[in-house]
Amino acid sequence: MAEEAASQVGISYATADDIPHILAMIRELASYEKCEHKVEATEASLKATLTFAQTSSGHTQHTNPGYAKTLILRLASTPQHLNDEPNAVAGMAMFFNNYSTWRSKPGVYLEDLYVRESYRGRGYGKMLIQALAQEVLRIEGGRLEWSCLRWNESSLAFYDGLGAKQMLDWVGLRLEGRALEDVAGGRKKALNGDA
Amino acid sequence: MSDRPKIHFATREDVPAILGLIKELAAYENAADSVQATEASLSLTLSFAPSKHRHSHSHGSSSDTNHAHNTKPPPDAPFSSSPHGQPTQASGYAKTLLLRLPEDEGADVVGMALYFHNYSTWRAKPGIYLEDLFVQPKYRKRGYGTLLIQELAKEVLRIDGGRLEWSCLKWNEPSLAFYRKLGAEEMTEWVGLRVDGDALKKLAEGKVEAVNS
Repeated sequence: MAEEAASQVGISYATADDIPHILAMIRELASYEKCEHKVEATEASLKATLTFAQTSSGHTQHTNPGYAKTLILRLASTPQHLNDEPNAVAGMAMFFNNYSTWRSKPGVYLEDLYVRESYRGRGYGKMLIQALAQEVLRIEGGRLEWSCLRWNESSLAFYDGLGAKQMLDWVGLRLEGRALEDVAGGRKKALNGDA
Repeated sequence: MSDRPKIHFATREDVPAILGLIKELAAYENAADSVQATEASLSLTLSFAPSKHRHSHSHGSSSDTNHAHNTKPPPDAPFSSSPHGQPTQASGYAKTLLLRLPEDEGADVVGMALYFHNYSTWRAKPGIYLEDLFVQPKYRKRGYGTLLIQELAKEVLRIDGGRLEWSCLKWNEPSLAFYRKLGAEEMTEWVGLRVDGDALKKLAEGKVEAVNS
């Protein structure tokens, strides 16, 4: 498919006004992965936990504390495609900063990438990833990272085409829920003084 | 309290100790040459708790006050439930927990956990990603690694977060066994992707329209 001309879309940091769009896309993404029931986010909890750019000051300084930022991809005000809605929100990339100790450099960890179904096949996913690569350079960082399910061949091939390498030697570890509470409360065998 | 190790958030004064531990960890992973961090770059990029005024007491022992790895702890350094321990430098990208030996062993910094916040979109909740965990070999088998992980687990709960996450090399059986014992889940279905160096520059340059900034 021919790539969409970059001038047809705009990518910018989300403001608090974009919260409804973000929540809608989170739900669409969860639905796509058959996990709608797992979405606990609400407009209020997103507002409380994300970092937003200022709405209309002419610059996108982030002033509120939060744990992740969002890039929003919008169609142009005069879109080329028939049936495209002007300025429609077509996709997002949610990310946070990570850190490389040995280089003492930050980086960007892409937590969620989503392009709405109607707008797929136009290269918007790649544009969002490219915008994040620029963000890494902007903060004088070193890496752009994310994760993918191992069986997702088509996504892995796409990422390979972007120049990403697979971190095959590593496995992720996670403590959550009851297991997390047990560790916090010292209720595991390993925590009872004999380790 | 004098016979128990203390854990606290690092202050700026702890940067030399942090760098020392980073270098030791790199050497342990046979990657000593990879360390590009310096005291200056760490000071610029990490978050720190407020410094305490270290009044150097007049009598004697000035010999140990400036030893890079043995800065005396603040007089009251309970852990994160106290407001004294809260990092305040909002511009840093990662925080560091330091573990000091008990007072009667010299209170040296012998372990650290360096971490940053991550985020779970579906829950709209933060979490903690543990980037580096290290206890000096001499002080292993005392449960210090576990104590550091426990403090991080408490910190996740304190910030109303959901997860404590980290990564491990697949061949590192002793570490994986330790993590399993703690109740951690191995995310075997996932693979990490990374773009850095020249590939990152190429990727960034491919875009025609700049991000609004």
